[in-house]
Amino acid sequence: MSSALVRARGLSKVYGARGVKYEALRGLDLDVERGEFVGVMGPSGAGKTTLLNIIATIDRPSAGEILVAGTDLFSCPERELARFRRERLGFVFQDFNLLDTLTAYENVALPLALAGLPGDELDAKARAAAARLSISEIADKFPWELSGGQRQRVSAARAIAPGPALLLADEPTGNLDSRAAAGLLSSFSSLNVDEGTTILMVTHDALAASYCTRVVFILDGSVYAEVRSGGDRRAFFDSLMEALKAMEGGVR
Amino acid sequence: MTAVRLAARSASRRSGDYTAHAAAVALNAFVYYLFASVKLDPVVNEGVMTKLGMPKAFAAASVIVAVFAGVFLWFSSAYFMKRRKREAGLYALFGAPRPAVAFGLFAETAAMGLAGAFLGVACGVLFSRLFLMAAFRLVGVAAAAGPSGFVNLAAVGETVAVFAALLGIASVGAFLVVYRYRLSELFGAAREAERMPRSSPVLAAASAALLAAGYWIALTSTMRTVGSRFFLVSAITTVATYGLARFLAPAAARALRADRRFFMRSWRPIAIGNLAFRIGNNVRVFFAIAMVGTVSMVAIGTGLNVKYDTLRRVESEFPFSFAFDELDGTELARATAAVEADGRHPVIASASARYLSVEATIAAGKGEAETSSTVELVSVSEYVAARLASGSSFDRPEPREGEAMVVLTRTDRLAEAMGARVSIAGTSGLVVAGAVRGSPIGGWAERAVLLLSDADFERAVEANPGGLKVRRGLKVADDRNARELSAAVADALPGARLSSFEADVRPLLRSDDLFLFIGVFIGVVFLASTGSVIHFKHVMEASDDAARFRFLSTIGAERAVLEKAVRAQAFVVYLVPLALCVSHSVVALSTMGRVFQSDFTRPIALTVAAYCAAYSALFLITSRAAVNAALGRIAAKAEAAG
Ligand SMILES: Nc1ncnc2c1ncn2[C@@H]1O[C@H](COP(=O)(O)OP(=O)(O)OP(=O)(O)O)[C@@H](O)[C@H]1O
Ligand SMILES: [Mg+2]
Repeated sequence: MSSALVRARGLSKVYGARGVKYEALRGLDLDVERGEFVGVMGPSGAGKTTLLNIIATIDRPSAGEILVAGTDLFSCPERELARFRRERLGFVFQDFNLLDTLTAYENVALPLALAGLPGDELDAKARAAAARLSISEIADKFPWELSGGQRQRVSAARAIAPGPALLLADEPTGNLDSRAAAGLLSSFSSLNVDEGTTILMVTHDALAASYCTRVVFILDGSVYAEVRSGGDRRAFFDSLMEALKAMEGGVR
Repeated sequence: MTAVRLAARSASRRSGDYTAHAAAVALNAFVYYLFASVKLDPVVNEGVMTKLGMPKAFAAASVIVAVFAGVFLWFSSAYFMKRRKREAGLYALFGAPRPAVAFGLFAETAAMGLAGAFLGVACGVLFSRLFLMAAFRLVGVAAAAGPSGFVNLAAVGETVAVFAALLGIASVGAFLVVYRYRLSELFGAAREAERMPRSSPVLAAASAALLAAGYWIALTSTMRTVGSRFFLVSAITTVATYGLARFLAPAAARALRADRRFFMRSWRPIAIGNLAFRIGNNVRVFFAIAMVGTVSMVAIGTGLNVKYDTLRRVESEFPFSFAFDELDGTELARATAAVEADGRHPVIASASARYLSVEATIAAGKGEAETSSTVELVSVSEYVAARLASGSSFDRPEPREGEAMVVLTRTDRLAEAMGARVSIAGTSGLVVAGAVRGSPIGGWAERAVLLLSDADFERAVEANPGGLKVRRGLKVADDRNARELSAAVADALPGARLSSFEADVRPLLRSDDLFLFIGVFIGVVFLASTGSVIHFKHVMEASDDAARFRFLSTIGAERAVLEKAVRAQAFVVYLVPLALCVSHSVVALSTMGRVFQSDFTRPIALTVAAYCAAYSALFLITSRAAVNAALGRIAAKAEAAG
């Protein structure tokens, strides 16, 4: 058995039960090893969100196999699935998905509350996550009182608060200015290095992708190319730009 | 796009909301028509039923129904319009002229309301005959003389007129909604979120204090002051209830939130967060339902008590089936002959007692003015013999010489009579030393009765020989169904001041039953309409929450936890108004019990139990429907995954 935390084989996803069908994923293969920080890039509509949703068990594949930590989550009973989502998985949604009914702090602490953490531990973890993403000052505001970037950071803090083994992030820097983006990415980086959190991050931004250890390019529902970091971010960024150009050429 | 097409399109999309709105109108129109059809029925407006006050009772009831229908229509359309605001804004943003959009909403509200009203009247026409028959039975009118005609056109006309007016007002409100929105409400900010009312602990405490004051004023009122205090107490209670809902609910939500240890635990942030999110709306619902519930609980409780009270009076003041004065000594023989001739009601018991009618001077307390009135005296041994003969329960009186005991009727106050000095010719001054319940022979002809020791009684007889008369009681089997016998006995005993169950109690029981019928009917109707408002509001909100719950399950909330969150919300939405209206009604009914010197314990317990049972049933129905609305897709998904 390989040590891959996520192992996808022949993954396909067809949208639209009857009438117009659309194949968002076409036989996609992907391995993510424990401790990796993997970037996913590709043009809009390539199937990136679809892939993340399937890994997170939010969506089911139409065909193919997906194993997380060696188990097929879709065959697990509902309670175990819920437990996996609560304790092992963090998800930063592209459209935030914050609860309007709760403040920023309460949103961050929500997964901890659902996991039944005792008060002190819950508070400590929620505060730590909020501090990591510098949202402590806005902790008592409601989502509608926050800017898009602030909401994105709250969403990220909520995802990392339980200390997940696998963090899935869908364009977490999409709404951030370059300074805030750098802050968020370096906190992801430190999570990855210090805590060994495995991260899978979708991004359109080559600069953001350069924080990763490896980047896969998805085109029309399958993996088109892959670039590994040699350790130097500057050099990695340059090779990502090249790969992007090549892919755009391929599209044309 | 024309206004009409706009209306049709949005109506079809919002069909759930509008079905609920139309159903609320239909229910109110239905009830109104029923009451109007009784009130305006030609048979009701002549003869016995007019004497019993039936048209008046139903006229008053229909006014109450109209007032609450107005309140409900207003709330209902305001609520639905609020949900439509965004849509209206969106149309305007895409360039639909504002008057067209506004007219669309106006037309929609009016059309759905009218449809509901017509449906209600149609159901009313179908059911009014049944309803009238039920009412007629209660007042003892034979079905043959029953309701005339199938459709009461006057009632249809009145119902349509009343609801057209109410709907007109509500629709104009809907029209205004569109003129009041700002585009900013559409985006970002207060999208779905209600403007959160500011919580003020000071005002919450003030409302609680006000309510306590209202309760105190109510509970300390007496027969003399209760009339003037009624409106004051009603006003105070209304304001205080609104204040409690308006200030205490947000304060409570805030306090629960502030305690993060309590708040951040499994379902609590979800349920409390949702309740607080819609607190503005919830406050109005809490308030309206608490008040409607109070009115109907008091109506039912009072109706029940009036009936119990009559039955209790009969028990204590009507120990015999027939009570009559002895004039020439042949009365008993004549009455017995009538009973034997009838044959269906054999004599069970017979007794007599001497009543001495005298002028008494009564000094209630030291320094208080003396009053003089006619009282009837009975000796203690004859009292005991009569009560024993009738087989009724009684407190064994033991007046010593120089003492008198009061025979209590419903409104006599022992507290005021105790220690009073009574001067009667022939006796050397008596002191009221106690009281007993239960008349010796009874009947409505009886005056205030004092029991004296045998020796004092004989002395009084010697001094007032002209006041003496004998009253006889005759008890027959199954006297509650002795209508014909009562008539026969009445014919046999002209001028003997005959009292019988049929002649004296039956009419009372009939109007009691009518009162109770109206009370229970209003109570059930209000319960149904408040229940349906809470139900639809809650289920609609739950379906608005479906996306939120789906998301929660993606971050690992178990279905059981989410179900708890949904149920907890429904629980609070039912519990808060129930607690308020139970508390109000208990105070109101206790006050009435105190003022009217009657034991309200049973009616209070019965009404509260009935309401709690009804609300529990409603809670179960609503929470089930809400769980389905909020979590339906999650269940489907779990199945697919399993
Ligand atoms: N629920 C759905 N029903 C039908 N088609 C869908 C659904 N969700 C996504 N799609 C289609 O699947 C394709 C892949 O969508 P996906 O959201 O994965 O793209 P993406 O790579 O995340 O794009 P972006 O970078 O714009 O977020 C798109 O063409 C989209 O139209
Ligand atoms: Mg996407």
